[in-house]
Amino acid sequence: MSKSFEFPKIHSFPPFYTKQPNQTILNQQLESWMNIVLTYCEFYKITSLSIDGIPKFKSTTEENNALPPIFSNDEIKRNCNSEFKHLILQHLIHQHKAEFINQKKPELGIYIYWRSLVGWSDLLYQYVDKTGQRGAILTIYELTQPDDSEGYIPQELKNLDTEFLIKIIKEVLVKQGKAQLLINEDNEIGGVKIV
Amino acid sequence: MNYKSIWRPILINRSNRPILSNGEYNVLIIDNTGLYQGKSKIIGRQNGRLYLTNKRIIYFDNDKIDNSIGVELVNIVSLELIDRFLRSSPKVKLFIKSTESTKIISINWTCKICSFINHIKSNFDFNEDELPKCTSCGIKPNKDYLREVIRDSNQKPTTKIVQSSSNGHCPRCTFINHPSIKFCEMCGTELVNFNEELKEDLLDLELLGDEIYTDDKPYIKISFRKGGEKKFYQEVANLIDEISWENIKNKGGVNQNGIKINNNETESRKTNGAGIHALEQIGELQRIQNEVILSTSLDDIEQLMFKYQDLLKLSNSFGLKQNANEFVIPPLNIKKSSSLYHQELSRHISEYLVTYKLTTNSSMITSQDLYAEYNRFLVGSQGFGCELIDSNDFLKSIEMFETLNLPVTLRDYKSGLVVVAPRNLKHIYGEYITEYLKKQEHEFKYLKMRSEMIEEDELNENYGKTISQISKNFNWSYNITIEELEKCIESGLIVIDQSISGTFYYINKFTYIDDDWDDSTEIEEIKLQLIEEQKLITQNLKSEFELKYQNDLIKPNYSFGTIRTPISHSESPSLQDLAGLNFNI
Repeated sequence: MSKSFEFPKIHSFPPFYTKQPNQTILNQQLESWMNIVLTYCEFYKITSLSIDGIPKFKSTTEENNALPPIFSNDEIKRNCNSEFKHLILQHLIHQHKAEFINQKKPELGIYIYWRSLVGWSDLLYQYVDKTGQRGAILTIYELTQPDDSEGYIPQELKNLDTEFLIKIIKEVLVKQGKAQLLINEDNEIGGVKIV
Repeated sequence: MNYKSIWRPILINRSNRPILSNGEYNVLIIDNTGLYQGKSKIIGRQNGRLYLTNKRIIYFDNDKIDNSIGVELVNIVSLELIDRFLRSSPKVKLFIKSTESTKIISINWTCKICSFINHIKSNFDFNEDELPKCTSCGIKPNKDYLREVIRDSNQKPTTKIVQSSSNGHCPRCTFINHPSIKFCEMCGTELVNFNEELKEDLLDLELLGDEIYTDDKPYIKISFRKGGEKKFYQEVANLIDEISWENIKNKGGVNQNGIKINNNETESRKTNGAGIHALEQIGELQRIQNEVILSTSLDDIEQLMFKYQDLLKLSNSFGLKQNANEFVIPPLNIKKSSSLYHQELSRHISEYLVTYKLTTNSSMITSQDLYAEYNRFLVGSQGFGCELIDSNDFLKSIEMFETLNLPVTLRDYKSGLVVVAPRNLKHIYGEYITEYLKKQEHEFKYLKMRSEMIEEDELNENYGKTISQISKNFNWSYNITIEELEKCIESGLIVIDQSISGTFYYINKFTYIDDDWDDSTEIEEIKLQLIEEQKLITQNLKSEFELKYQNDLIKPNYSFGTIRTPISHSESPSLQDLAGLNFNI
């Protein structure tokens, strides 16, 4: 992935980094920020961010510092203060485009849903369905296998954050009755059965 | 007889005050007055302010400004005070000069010696005035002959007017003159100018009844519905006296600079002798000495007062010199106790603002600044003797801007700041600011482009503007700018950018969609402009170089490359122009 993310022009508009006092403008501003965060995360396949906006987990292999920062722009020497960053993330959560990894410990960071959980689960289900693995017990590792030589696993699922994957299975597939989680003796998730 | 023609129309300024002529000043202003011609009311002139100046009585109608009229004090001979009687308001009767004296016709008489046509006034008094000489040959005419001429002309003034026509047709020699000429160019006969007479009758005053005068003496009456008649009477009487005194003085009837000579020889008395008589004498002497001390000390105070007045005059004369070329606002001349004081002050302030302060559309001034500057203006224009306005009066009068329908208005801000601004544009200051910010942004892009092309130091700033920059541009005070910006932010026109280097203001671009952000055409234009500029610089450098070395014949082995046309995709095409030059001396 050699091409780096191209920010929209508003990213180099200095007032973009200050919380606007006018409520209507602020809403527009937050909306723009949300779009930037989502497209940015989608571009780099980032599924979770720390509360300071640093990518926590992504399915690409690039180093974090190789990525352009979201919340600052060196060219115009502007960056968001942490208060405003939190406001933006709050807005994302409010719009159901993000969620805390752990409600009780917000400092752990947030999941970014540039694709909704349902979308993810559909993807997963289709893969399992297509490859005739329905009913079979699969390990989490198998689902996101990085060195999948046959190329069955869709690109999107490769290297997916395991915790994120578990969350998808737990919150959507299990609830829909399409999956079962198997827990081993160490109280860990040993495998998953998708039916 | 019709005496209505003594009323004249007046000039009015935008702040609804009469425009005074040179050297004229207000003496008295009284509200709620009405005008009478003779015994009858003049219709439409029953509710107005009366301005008494040193030259005129001006009636300023409160309902319809166009109805305002004035009368020259010169036309007033005497006056009479009529007290309140039952329901009728007190009035002042002003007697007008009767027409016999006002309408003086000039009569022609022909010199018997040289036959030159001379003029003589119809009111020529044969007993007192000296007989006129012929202006051509200097010979005095016969008294009887002159008398005859005047008698003749008085008998047939009407026929004369019939003969003359309006277009400058001379009744005597039939020469057709220019209409504006008063005397025939050929023979010097007086032409009756109809235009002027028409102008005098322009004021169409309607009376409630007929024009009747008691005792056949023409007069006008001013009715004072809310008092003030005594003061008015006093002032007019003074002014008429002054005017007649002035007339006498101009005729040379006053012995000016006369000094009364008095010998102040103090006799020193010495006491001698003894007894009661001597004691009494000593006491007397003591008293006299005390008296001398007291009177001399009072003399000193008097001297001081004279000096003080001189100083005032001096400072006034400086003020006059200062403002000699500008339009001068006549000073306000009204008593503080008058009920009209605040209205007049309000008008005066508005006049001051319109002339000096609020000259551009975007100009504004805070009430504090206005208060200070107005008082400064008073000192500056009237010298140190003038009375300053106190803050209560100031506040009252600026609040009257609205009710008096003046061209300025007050604007209140949330923080309690009060600003005076021109009335016509009340809510578009935001537009001025955005316009300014847009222009600045363009400027910034231009500078940035240039620094990129010429590889100068990179510009570190952004194109946002600080409060101080905006205030400076509009000549507003900080408070105003802050308030206006706040309003703009509220309405979503402007956004802020807070960083360590300060707070900057930008045009709201959050609403921009993709196309709005595209400034490539603007950038292209700037590029072209810059290329032109650089080309010019190169050209100048080249010609300078040529000029310097054109006489250098010893080593002429330098050459110029051809000027290549700039390639538009290159970053600094103009620099490549320079590269074509070979300076190998």
